[in-house]
Amino acid sequence: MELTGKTTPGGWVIGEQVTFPPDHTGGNFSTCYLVAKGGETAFLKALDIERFDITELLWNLSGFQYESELVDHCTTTGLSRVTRMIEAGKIERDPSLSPALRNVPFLVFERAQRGDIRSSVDISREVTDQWRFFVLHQAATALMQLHGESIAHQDLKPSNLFIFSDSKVKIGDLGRASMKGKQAPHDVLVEPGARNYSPFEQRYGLGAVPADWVERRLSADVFHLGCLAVFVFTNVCFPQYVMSKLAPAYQPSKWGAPYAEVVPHIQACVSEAVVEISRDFPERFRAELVALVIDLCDPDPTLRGRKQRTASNSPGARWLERTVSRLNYLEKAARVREASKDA
Amino acid sequence: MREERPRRVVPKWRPSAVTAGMPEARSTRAGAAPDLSRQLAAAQSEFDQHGGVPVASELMFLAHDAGASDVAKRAAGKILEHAGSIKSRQLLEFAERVVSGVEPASIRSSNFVRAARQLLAVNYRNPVLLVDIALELTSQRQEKAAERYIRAAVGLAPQSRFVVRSAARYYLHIQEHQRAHDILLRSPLLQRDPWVQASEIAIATVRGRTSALAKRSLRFFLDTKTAPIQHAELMSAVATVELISGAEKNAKKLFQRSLQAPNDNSLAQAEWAANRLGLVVDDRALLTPMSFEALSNNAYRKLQLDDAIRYALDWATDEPFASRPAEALGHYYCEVGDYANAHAQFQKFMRLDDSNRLGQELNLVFTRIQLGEVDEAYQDLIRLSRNPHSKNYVAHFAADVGALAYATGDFAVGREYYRRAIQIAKNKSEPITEALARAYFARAAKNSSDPNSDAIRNEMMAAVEKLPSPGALYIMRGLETSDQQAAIDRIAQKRVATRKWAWDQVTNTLKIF
Repeated sequence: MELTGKTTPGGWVIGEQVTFPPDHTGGNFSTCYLVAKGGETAFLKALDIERFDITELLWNLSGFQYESELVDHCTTTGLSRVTRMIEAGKIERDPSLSPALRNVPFLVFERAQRGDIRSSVDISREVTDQWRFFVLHQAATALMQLHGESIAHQDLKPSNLFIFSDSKVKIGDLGRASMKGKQAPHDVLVEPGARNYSPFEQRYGLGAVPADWVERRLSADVFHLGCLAVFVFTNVCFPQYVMSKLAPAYQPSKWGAPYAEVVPHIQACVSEAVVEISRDFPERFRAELVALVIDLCDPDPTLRGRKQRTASNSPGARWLERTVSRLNYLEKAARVREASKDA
Repeated sequence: MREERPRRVVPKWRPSAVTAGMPEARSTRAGAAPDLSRQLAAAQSEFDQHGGVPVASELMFLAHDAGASDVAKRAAGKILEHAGSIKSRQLLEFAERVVSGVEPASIRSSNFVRAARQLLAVNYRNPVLLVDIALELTSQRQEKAAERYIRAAVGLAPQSRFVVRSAARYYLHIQEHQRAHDILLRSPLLQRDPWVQASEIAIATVRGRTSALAKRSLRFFLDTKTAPIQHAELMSAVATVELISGAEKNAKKLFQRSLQAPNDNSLAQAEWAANRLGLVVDDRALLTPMSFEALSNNAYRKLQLDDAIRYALDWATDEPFASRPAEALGHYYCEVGDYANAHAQFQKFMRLDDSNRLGQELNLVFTRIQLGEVDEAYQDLIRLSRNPHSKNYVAHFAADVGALAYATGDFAVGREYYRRAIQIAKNKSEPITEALARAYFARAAKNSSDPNSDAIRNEMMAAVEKLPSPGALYIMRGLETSDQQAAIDRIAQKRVATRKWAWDQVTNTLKIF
C-alpha cells in the first residue's frame, strides 16, 4: 500500500515508508510512514487494508477505530506517558478503487526520535542500572495513567515503549488496549498481546482467564510490567523462559483441565526461573527485583501484584501506585550509586 | 500369610519432576496449540532488519515456543555471536540449549532440602516444592518435620492432584489413615478426577470402608468398553473392591481391562490379583514405565541379579522414603557376594524402617562377618542374643554363628550351626530361610575350603531346588559346574511361569522375602 506523497487533511505530508519493525506500532496490520509539516516530523500509522480479506478487514477497521478513540481520549485527558496522537482520519489513496478500499484510516503520532527501548537496554552493551530503572518507572507510570482512565494496555512489551528526544519514555500502540465499559473487537481474544510476554493464564485458554475486567485485563498489564523488569536487566522473555521449564504434560497444548490445577506447577517453575535469572540482576538491587518479579508475575491472576496490598494499591485504578514509587526510589538509588562511582 | 493381605491402589509418592512424566500428571482432556505463525513471521522480518541482541532474544523465545527450531537456532546463534559482551548468563545458557538442542538434565542437589528452602525463601507460595521437601524429609525419617510442609502445600493448593495424592500418601505412611482419607474427601477434585477418585476408593478400603464412588464407577466401567490410561488406577481400585467383596467375575473383568493401558500402580495391582483370579499378566505389561519394583522382582526370579539390582536401585530412587528397595538390595548384594554394598543397604533400611529391627541387625552382623570384621560381629551377636525377641530369630542367629565359625576357620562349629539353622527353619516352616541357610552354608564351605565342601554342596543343592527361593538358587548356581547351572536356570524359568508375589498393603510394595 503506497501513500507516499499524499497529504493528510491536517496538512501532514506523507514521506517515505519506514522500515520500522512490523510490530513496532501495532502488529503486522499497519504500514508506517514519516510525515512532515512545517519543519516538524511525526509518524503516521495507516491500516494496511490490502492485506486482509473482507471479514478480517471489517474486524481490523473496527479495531483501528477503537484504537483511534482510545488514543484520542488519552491525548485529550493529557496522559503524559502515552504517545500523543496528533491527527486521526482517512486518506484517499486511489479514487479509482471501490469505495470500501478507497479510503485508508490513519493515525498521526508524535515521533519517538530514538525508537523503542530495546537497543537502549541491550545486554551486550554498557547500560546503567539507573537507566533500566528509569525505563521501568516510566512504563509503570504510563500504565498507572492508563489504569486511571480505566484503560488496560494489554500489550506492554519492550517494542511498545518509545524514547523521545528529551529521554522521556512513553508507551505506544494501544491497538490491543481495552477500556472498561467500551467493547473492543479484540476483547474476545484470550491472548491479545504478544506471545512472548503473555500471562500464563492466557496461554491456557478462555476458561483460565478471569471473567472480571479488572482481574483479567489490568492484571495482564501488571504481569507485563514484571516481564519488562526481567527484560531490561537480562533481555530474557520471562514467561517463555518459565514455560520452557514446565514439564510437557503441563504445557498449554497438552493441558485441558482447569487452570487452577496447573498453577502450582507453574509457580514452582516461576520460583526456579526467578532464582536463576536473579543471578544476572545487579547485586545491590537483586532482592528488590526478585520480590518485584515474584509479585507482579504470579501465575495466579487473583494474587498478582498484591504482595503488600493496601487500600491504595488494590486492583483498580491505583493498583500500581506502590510499584511506581518503589521504582522511582530504585532509580534514584541507582543514580546516586552511579554518581558516587563516577566521583 | 502375607499373600492373603489385600493390596490397595494407594497413590505412589514420587518427586514432582518424576511424577510430571507419569500418566497421572496428564489432564483428562487435551489443550490446544495456538497459531503463532503471524507473530513469528513479524519477528523474523524484524530480526532480519534489526538483528540486535534484544530482538534476537525475542525471536529465539518465540520460535522456541512455536517449535520452529531452525529459526530459534538462527536467533540463538546471533546471541552467541555476542557472547563475549553479554552479561546475562541465563540468556546465553538458553541460547546454547537452543543451538545444541539438548535440554539440561535436572540435577538434584545433594542437599536438596537446604537448596529447596532457599527457593522457598524467595517465594513460599510453592506447593509443589513443599511436597518435594516433605518427601525428602520423609525419606530421611523426619516425618514429623515433613508434616508442616504437607499442611502448607494442601492449604495452598487443595485443587492440585499432585499435592492431594502426595499428602494422602504421606498420611498413610505415618499411619494417619483417617486424615489421608479426609484430604481426598475434601478435595474439590474428588467429583471429577479419576486419579483422586482411585486414591479415595483405595484409602477407604484401608480404613475398612467402601467408598460411595466405588459403585458409581463400577456401573460406569461395566457400561463402557474403552480403558484409557487415565482410568487405569480407578479401574483397578474398583476391581479390588469387587475382589474383596467376593465379586470375582467383575473384578477379573476390570483387572483385565485395566491391563489394556496400565500404569505402574495398576500393573502391580493386577499382579497381586493374578494368582487368585487366574489373570495372565504378560511381559508386555512389564514395559509399563516406572515399573521398577515389578521389573526387579521379575529379574530376580529369573536369577538375573545384575538386572534385579539395577531395577531395585531405580526403585530406591523412585521411592526414596520406602524401606523395601533397600531391603531387597541388601539381599541381592549378599547373594552376589557384594557385602560392602549389602551392608550399606541394610543400614539404610534400618534408618528408614524401625520394624523387624533385630532381623535387620542380624543381616548387618552377617555382612560384617563377610567383610572380615569378625571381632565386631562377635560382640554384636553377644549383644543381640540378649534381646528379648531373639528367640524369634533363632535360625538367623544360628546361621550367623555358622558364618562366623567358618570365617575363623572352625569348620566343625560352622557346619554344626548351619545345620542347626536349617533344622530350626524347617521345623518352623520357614522355607525361604531354610533355602538361604542351605545356600550360604554351601558357599561358606566352599569359600573356606572346607574339605567336605563338595558333599555339602551336593546335599544342599538337592534340597534348595525344591525350596522357593530364587536367591538360594542363585547362590547355588555360582557353586556349580556349567551343566548344573543350566539345570538351575531351567528350574528358575519354570518357577517364573507360576508367579507368586506377596504385597505389603501399607508400604504398597512387593514382598519378595
